[in-house]
Amino acid sequence: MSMDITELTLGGLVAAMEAGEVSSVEATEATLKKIEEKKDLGAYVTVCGDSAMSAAKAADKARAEGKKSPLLGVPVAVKDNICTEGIRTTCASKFLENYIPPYDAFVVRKLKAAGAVIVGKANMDEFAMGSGSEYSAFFRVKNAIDPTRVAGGSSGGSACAVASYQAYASLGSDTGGSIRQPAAFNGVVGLKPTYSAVSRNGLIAFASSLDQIGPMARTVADCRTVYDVIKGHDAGDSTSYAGDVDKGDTFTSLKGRRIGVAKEFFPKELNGEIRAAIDKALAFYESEGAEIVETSIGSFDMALACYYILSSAEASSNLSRYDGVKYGRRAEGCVNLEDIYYKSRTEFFGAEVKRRIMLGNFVLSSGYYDAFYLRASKARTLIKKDFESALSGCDALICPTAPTTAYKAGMSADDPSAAYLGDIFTVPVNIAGLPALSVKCGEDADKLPIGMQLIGKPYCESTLMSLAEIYEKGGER
Amino acid sequence: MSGYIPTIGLEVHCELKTETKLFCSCRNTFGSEPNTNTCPVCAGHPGVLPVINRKAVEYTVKAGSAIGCRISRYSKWDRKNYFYPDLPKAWQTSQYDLPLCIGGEVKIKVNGEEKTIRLNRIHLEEDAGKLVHGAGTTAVDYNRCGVPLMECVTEPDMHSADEAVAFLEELASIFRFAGVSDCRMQEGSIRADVNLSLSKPGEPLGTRTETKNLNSFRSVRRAIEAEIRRQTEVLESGGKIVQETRRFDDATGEGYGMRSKEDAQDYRYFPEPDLMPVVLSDDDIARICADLPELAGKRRQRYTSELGLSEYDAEQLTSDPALADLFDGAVSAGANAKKAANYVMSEIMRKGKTAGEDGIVVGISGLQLAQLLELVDKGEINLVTSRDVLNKIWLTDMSAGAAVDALGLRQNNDAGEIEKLVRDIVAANPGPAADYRNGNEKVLSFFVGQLMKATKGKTNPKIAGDLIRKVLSE
Amino acid sequence: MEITKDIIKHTAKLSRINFTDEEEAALEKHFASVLGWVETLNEFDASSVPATAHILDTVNVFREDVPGEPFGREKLLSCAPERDENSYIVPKVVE
Repeated sequence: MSMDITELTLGGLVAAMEAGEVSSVEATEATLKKIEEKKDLGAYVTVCGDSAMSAAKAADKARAEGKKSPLLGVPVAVKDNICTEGIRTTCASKFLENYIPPYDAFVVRKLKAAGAVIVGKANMDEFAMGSGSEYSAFFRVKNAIDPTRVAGGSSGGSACAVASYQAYASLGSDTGGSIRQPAAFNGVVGLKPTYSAVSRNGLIAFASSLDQIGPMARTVADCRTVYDVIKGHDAGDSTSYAGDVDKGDTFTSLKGRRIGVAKEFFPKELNGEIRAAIDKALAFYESEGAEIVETSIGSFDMALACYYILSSAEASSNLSRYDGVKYGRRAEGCVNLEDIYYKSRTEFFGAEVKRRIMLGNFVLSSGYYDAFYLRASKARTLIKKDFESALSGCDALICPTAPTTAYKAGMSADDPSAAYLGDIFTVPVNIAGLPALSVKCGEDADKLPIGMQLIGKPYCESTLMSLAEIYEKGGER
Repeated sequence: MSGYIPTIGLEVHCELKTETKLFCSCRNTFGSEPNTNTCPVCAGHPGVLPVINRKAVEYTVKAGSAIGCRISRYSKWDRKNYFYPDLPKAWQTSQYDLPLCIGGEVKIKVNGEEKTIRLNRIHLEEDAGKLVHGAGTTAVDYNRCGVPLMECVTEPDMHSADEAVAFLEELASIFRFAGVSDCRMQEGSIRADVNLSLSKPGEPLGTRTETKNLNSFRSVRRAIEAEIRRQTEVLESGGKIVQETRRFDDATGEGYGMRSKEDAQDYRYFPEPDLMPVVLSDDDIARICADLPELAGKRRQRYTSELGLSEYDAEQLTSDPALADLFDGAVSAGANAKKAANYVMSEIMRKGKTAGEDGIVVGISGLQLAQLLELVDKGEINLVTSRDVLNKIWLTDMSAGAAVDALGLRQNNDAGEIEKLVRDIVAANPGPAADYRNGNEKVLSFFVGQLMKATKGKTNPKIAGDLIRKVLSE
Repeated sequence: MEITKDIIKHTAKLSRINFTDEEEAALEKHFASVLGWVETLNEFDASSVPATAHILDTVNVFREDVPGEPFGREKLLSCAPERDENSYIVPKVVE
């Protein structure tokens, strides 16, 4: 083939491989070459060329023998907080710089079983804490459209890799927007599934009650292909949903569909270009036959505080295991046990991770628990209820994915708390445990992509993907 | 003792005898090579998730039912956060505000007086690993990490070391009978923390100290006695008791304060997001407790009031559930209670005690024991030869009668045949025969011995005695 | 509420992290602004609202008490920064 095969969609590549036009070895070689060319973007922490090539060869052989599976021979990227047996998994942290997991995450087993070729581990904010992928302990991820800007985060590497043809699809993780926001910033599709729809087994925990693994790809259809592979019950994750995770609909017509618009998602100060893009998208849906209904999430204002309290509290506990005893690094010159704890944690955690651990330990500490942690847990009840009632009258809510497009690198260094405001539209969804998808719905004056977020009912991912796909085919991009 | 009354509360940790750990499928066994019973979950690797062992929950419910706890219809899991090398996740998964069992009580008897010790709660949690201190380093073994542990918290209802030890013994007995824990001190499968304060009668309780991790009933007793002495001395000399965590050194018999932490421990408990709550219906609880056996206390009562055994015998028989089960089995298979009790307390206890273990191995069934006792009763074998039969049927399902035949031990009860033998022996021993006739009764046993020797013990000793007397008196 | 230096120092101890004076000052500021948002949480009557610890209403997720294959000690121990042939090693722990 004369064209650059890395630019095929995942679906296109599978079709070409099935037609015998391209082999997985060729696609993998091309992808590895692209990764080398685009090294400057910082999308990968670890590239696993050798294991990828053997997986590609095995995939070609299997296909020759008549095997069919949805990702057979497809080069994909996996976020570096998802454990891969025998492949370094660092969480973009110095602490785990040398950590080689002794086991595969559930989703990695699923990917491998579906024939996927894992080409590398995608860069991210350290321990998934951040919104710009600037807090990687190794190097920042650059935006695929404008490298002077951030890739978004924390799954910045997963988004950038897909947007810059360094993978056909990727896995990210989303605790407060970490799939959707980088998807928006890089103009790709990102799906955060319903909490419990995808096993967290092997996902290095940030905030266990909020974390979800999800797919990122260049098209909705590709996203769906990957999602169908990774979703479903895992007896090894007590929070994994044992029921039917496919409660949504698949459709191509918007007749009878209702789309909700909650006024709280459109604050007066919202960036005009973003507002206009979302309005246009809503107009498109209406013109295609959907009904737009006004609704409200009264507790919206509580979400940010609720999120930062709960996620930091859980993180402070989850990250206590990094102590220089069992795995990962230990600081040099420790003479006693406390030394190991203090020196290792001081040296190997980055500033943002330390801020979250500190905040989390504070809100859980004696005397403050009720005022912060408990109160946030109660606010969570209200937020969940508000979403339930808003979604009871429609198929999905639509709002911006982020209040800005990709910003210039280095901006969040001055005031880390201001950066948290960028998560305002994404965190409520994690608090409520709902599925949400980000799809590109236009560009700003700098040609930077604008993301539209669709929020759905529990286990109705397919409804969101149908809505997004209809937009993708007919809407303005 | 200077008029101070000690007030004691206990926190007792009992390891459950499940096959696997609480949150992963590693084996729950004692004495394995270090770190061989570990996996990414119990070694706290990044990304791992716990799944609750159903049996551990059921055992705790059984234990709670056995001591009259209220079983929670809704209980949940919490993280207790602290750094220590024996705790790989840096939190212990435990139950903070909604434990599985609430309340309950245990009756004890000290110096003939009955007393009720109330429990506050029983919750389920995971054990930590083991530190082995070397010269300059400490080795960490995670085999015990994640082993299911019931923590039983009492109310401060005990006032002496005797009461505390009696409570522990009774609690261990209940859990052994309920079949949920071996409560073996040597293996650390039951351990206690002692909270103790002194006060004068009528005055509020004094400041308490907590002596942690006592792993024998003996060290519980010694630690309590030492701490009462220490606190008394401090108070007598006008000092104040400092609230602290202490350790007890078995070697020196002294307690000592642990290197005091600068801040009081702040465990930052919060709900475990990785585990879902446990919700039990009345039906669930009934199903779980359906096979809960009759406990030691009830059995003791039955043995004395219905079977006419002495308190001492009842106590001995219920010292181990296996013994009590054997005894009950023999009685229900038709054995005489007193005879069965005596046999269990002598022959079975002797044979069942294995070197270096707390427990008793019982190698026969109640039916086998009843058969054995019947053979003794009928004079088919005697108590001495019954030991050979016991050895033969031990850990097999052979009937006692079959063993007697196999060993050729069936006793000779034929008076005519025995009399013939007796006459031969008397004739061959004219000296002793003359002694007897001159009034030396002791010589009788010489003739019994000779007869047994000649018949390899297979002569009915009662018939033999009568016939020897008869022949010698002729 | 006011975030004091003492709070920061105490929390740093709970976290087992050392901070320089400048870092502590920055953390004070950071805490103050993030916890400032907590005002938004004070707008409802908490006494009538139950807390949500899990977004799911699933209960009783159990596994059966059946041992799995041994994982293999070496696979775990090989990740340790310091070890001997069968254990993790730390400097001598004093209680």
